[in-house]
Amino acid sequence: MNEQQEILLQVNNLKVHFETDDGTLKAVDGVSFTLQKGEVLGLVGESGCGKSVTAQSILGLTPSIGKVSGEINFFGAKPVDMVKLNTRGHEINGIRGKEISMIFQEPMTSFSPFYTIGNQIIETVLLHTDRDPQAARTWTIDLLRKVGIANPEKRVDSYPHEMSGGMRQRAMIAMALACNPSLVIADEPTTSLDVTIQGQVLRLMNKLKTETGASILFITHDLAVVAQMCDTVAVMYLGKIVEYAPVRTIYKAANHPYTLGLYNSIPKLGARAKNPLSPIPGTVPVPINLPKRCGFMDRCPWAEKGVCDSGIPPLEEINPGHFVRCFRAEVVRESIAKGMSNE
Amino acid sequence: MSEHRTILQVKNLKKYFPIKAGFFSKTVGNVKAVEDVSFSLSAGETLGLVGESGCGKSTVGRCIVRGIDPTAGNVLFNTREGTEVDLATMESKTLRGLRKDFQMIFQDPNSSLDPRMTVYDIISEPLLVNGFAGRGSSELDARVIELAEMVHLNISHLKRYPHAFSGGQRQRIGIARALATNPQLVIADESVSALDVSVQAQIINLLKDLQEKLNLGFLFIAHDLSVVQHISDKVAVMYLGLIVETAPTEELFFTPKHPYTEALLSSVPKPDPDDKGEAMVLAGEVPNPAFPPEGCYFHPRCKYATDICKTLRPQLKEISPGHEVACHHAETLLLKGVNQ
Repeated sequence: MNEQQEILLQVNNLKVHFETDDGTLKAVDGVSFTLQKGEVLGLVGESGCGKSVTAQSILGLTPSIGKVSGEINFFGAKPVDMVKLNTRGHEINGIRGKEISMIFQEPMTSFSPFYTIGNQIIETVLLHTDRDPQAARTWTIDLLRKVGIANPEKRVDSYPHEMSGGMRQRAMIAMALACNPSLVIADEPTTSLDVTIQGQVLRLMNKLKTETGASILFITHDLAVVAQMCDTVAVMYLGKIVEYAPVRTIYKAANHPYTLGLYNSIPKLGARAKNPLSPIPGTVPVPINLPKRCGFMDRCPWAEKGVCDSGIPPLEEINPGHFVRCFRAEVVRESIAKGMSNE
Repeated sequence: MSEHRTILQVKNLKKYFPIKAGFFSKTVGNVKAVEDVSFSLSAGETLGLVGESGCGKSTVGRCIVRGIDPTAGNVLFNTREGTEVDLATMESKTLRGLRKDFQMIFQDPNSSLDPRMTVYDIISEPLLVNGFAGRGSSELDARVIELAEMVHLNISHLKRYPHAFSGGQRQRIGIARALATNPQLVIADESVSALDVSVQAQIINLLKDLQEKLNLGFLFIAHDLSVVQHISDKVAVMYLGLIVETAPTEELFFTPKHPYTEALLSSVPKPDPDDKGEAMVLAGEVPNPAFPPEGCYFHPRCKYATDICKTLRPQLKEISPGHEVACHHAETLLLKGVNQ
């Protein structure tokens, strides 16, 4: 990644808070990141860490009871702050599906079962471009061919239930690409697929990325998928980014105890010794009324009283481009260097 | 503790689901979900059953516990008393008496627990039904607490309802329930796939601990190969209702002999940005099991297929001790396993 690249999306101190009977649920609590043109940013974390809500807030899709604050500057056809747009307004509708599109996890539920795949893609094309219906249909067939659906002339008239999971996900990708978006948000696009189909879909997304030059915000909990897809990775925990770095740094020199814990939890294919996995103890707390201290403290092997509970640790740049939110980052770094963790 | 007697032998298990059509619901064909599956399992051993969705791996599990009745074949189960019984053909009344010896852990911890029962009730139900202890007795209390401690549940939470627990904790409740009656055989159908990675690792470790402690035979059905490699002693790979390869875990992962196994292994994404691997992505999808292709079922997706594969279905044959493959070219192909 060189420096002169253009910024496409800049998220500043994004907060999404939900008022509940028990208190304020801080789903996203001060997230900032930038996405360059053509970059693939992975947003990683376990369920409930706020990664999906972050993605939804970019398109103004968060449930209406959620209070969104902060800035989401999108530098598309004309620069806008997505937070300020009316979520039902004309302006945001011109961006949704055209400049920013989304690939959802569940291809079964994100297509309408009442319309053919073709109709649903053509609708997008007609809405956002000035193609006539016939041209839109030809364009759609081309798209379906591009994402590797066999026999697109016939498949364009299939209903979602007539397709397999992998094929539906391909159609979903075709729909996301229908208007040549500059940003694609992919929310767990391969989680519900078989490994072989997942391999096909990831490879397809990689190919299309190089062809179209679109930026991708890739949301997943699977560190292996991130390794294969992303340029930069942001690891989220309890609504905050805890580590943010280029993908190689995350895998070779992760510094936050949570990132290390995640990495050590995955069983690695080909590891000969059958050592027990080292999971992260405990579970993710509900982000309501959290005390003002490091959110990961209770599960962290490096935690120290008096240090980690003295406040919320800031996100600090420990190396150019490598940000870590940990009071004891240095101690962690030293103990890794001594070979205490990470295999 | 260290006895390794065979507790389960599945022989030529078949399960066909009829396709009905027309006004009189005439059977017009069969979906051969499980076509011919045989394997055996010893106490204290874990067999991993892997394959893509629709390959019939869950149907095998359900046939063994007689959640559904198999079409043909034997499920020979060695009881504690040392007699061999066939679960596949057994009367359901006699079967009920044996159910305490084989239990199941399900995939979805949200829907497999009754939301209107407390955790205490959920864990104690199998004990009551199978007459291990009477309702309200102190033995029941003691056993439920013992089980809860075994799966690391907080005992003070036993009066709560499932909704108050996280996914990982609910899976622990499901495990406690499955182990309540001291089973010899546990069938885990995708038991960790719905969990987050950090919690998944906790549950995998727990399952391994318990297996060692209780000398359980595990049938571990899953699609995640790295999890299967971690937990299994031997692995059987299924494709379209047939086992195409079975071998001790390391042998299967490092020196696979079936092209399908090779392809499956190569499509697992590796958690390393520098190892993009030359993933030989499998083209196409699993064919419809109602109309499987002629010859070897895998030949339309196989890059090594020759003419013989299109006409003749290969049988499972043993190529080295414990390593069976159903492929015409098993001896000649040089396939790539997982990098060590």
